[in-house]
Amino acid sequence: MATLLLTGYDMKDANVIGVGMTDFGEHDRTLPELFTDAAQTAIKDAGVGAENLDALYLGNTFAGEIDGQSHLGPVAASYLGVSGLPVTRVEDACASSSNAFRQAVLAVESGRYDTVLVGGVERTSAATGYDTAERTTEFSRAADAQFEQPLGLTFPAAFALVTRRAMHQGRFTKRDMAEVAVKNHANGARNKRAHLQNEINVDDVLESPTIAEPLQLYDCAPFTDGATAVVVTSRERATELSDESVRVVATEQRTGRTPLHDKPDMGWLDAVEKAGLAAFEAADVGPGDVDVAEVHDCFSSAELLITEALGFAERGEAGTAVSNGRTALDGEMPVNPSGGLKAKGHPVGATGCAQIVEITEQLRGECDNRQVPNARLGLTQNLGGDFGSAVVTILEVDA
Amino acid sequence: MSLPTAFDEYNEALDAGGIQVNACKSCGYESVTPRGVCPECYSDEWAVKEIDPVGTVYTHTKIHVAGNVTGVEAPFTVGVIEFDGGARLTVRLRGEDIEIGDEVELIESIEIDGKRVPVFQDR
Repeated sequence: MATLLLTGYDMKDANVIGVGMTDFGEHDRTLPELFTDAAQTAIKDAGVGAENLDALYLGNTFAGEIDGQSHLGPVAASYLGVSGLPVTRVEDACASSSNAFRQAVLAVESGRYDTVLVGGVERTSAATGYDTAERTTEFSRAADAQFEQPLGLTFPAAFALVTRRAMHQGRFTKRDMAEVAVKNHANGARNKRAHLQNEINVDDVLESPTIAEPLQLYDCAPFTDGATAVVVTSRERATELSDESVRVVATEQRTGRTPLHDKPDMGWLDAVEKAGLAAFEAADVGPGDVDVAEVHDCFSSAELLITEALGFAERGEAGTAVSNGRTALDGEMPVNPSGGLKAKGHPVGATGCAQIVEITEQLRGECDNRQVPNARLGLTQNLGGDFGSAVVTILEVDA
Repeated sequence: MSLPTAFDEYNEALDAGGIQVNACKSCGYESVTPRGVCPECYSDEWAVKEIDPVGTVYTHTKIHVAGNVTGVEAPFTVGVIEFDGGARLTVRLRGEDIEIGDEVELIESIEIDGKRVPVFQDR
């Protein structure tokens, strides 16, 4: 890959100084209403006035299709009350707001902007008025329009194809997948903002209705509404505002080949592996240094696949990592303490920044009964489309 | 410059019972999906050929909860087929007890939303 030489700006470090999110669940409110809630919380948390924002990056996927609202960026900025700012909407399917976060960080690191608001907002639940088949069709729009969508390839089906291939390689079992769902529901039960706060057991998963074999209902994240927001600023400004904040040590994106059938190994998430390796190299740390991670468990098997692609477990060992409790809240490598997409919920374009919110609060020690003790270094991993986009961010306590 | 095969040509070949594959003249990489440059070696020299529409099942799923674009009642099966030479294609699979490694052949293509969907079945 070509090296980009930036001239004319002093490269800076970027810090997260404010976070906010709505409760995740079903909301019969508009996208601008939801985003304003999350953004005002983040701005207040940051301790900067809205007048000090230099730009807004907003992640969203379905506003035009589900909400009948295109041009969402300036509309959302106007309702928040910050019209006039440069605003960019980022659409990268389920990775929209982590991609938006990355753009915000790059803008601050370049020195072009000092303080940037970034967030995501989406409505995908039954409160939209669309039935399950209609929403399933909307989600499938991220698949290839020539080779995949006409087949009726739903998003669960796309992940089922990858899951089946990985299971054929002997990497994990249905029971291992069920253990992921059980773990993430247990974590979600400790998160007051989570969409699903009920504990479940392995039999609940294995006896739930089949969606796309081998995925069952409780292997799948729910259809969720919600908004998230994060304030990113230069490290200099962050230090002026507070003695302790959270530094962005790396944020990397890689893309994978689409359609799905052209992935070199359909059982292996190469884009996640590459984004992870790039982030670890930029941060000068390895997977063993990470204290807590939020990863893209849109389906139970996805968490296992990602755990391996990021090197938190050896290839073929992710199932053991969950079944022996290593990735549990009190384990050696806690994964998805928020409940993950599986239990906290998955409002597509808001999900990436929700991961940033959780890791920031973990590093600030604000997570009450789901707090990972002494968390100093955290990682987020967000996936977009049928494995076409992967964003990995590493955050650390900056005190 | 353009893609080595237009979707219209791919759909016409499929309608006539064949599968068009794009082969990189430089490194030999083959894919049904057309690419501007070879994703393996960045060459833009392609040979377009029609292959015997027979392959093996690489992965598959039976879809129980469907969207609105299907043309059939759920459940139905979708899979990825691998051809000799390594090119793969996502297809409808007909039949029960499908397993990875099964040899399957193109039996028809059906039109859904103005696009042709290949249907494969056990040989």
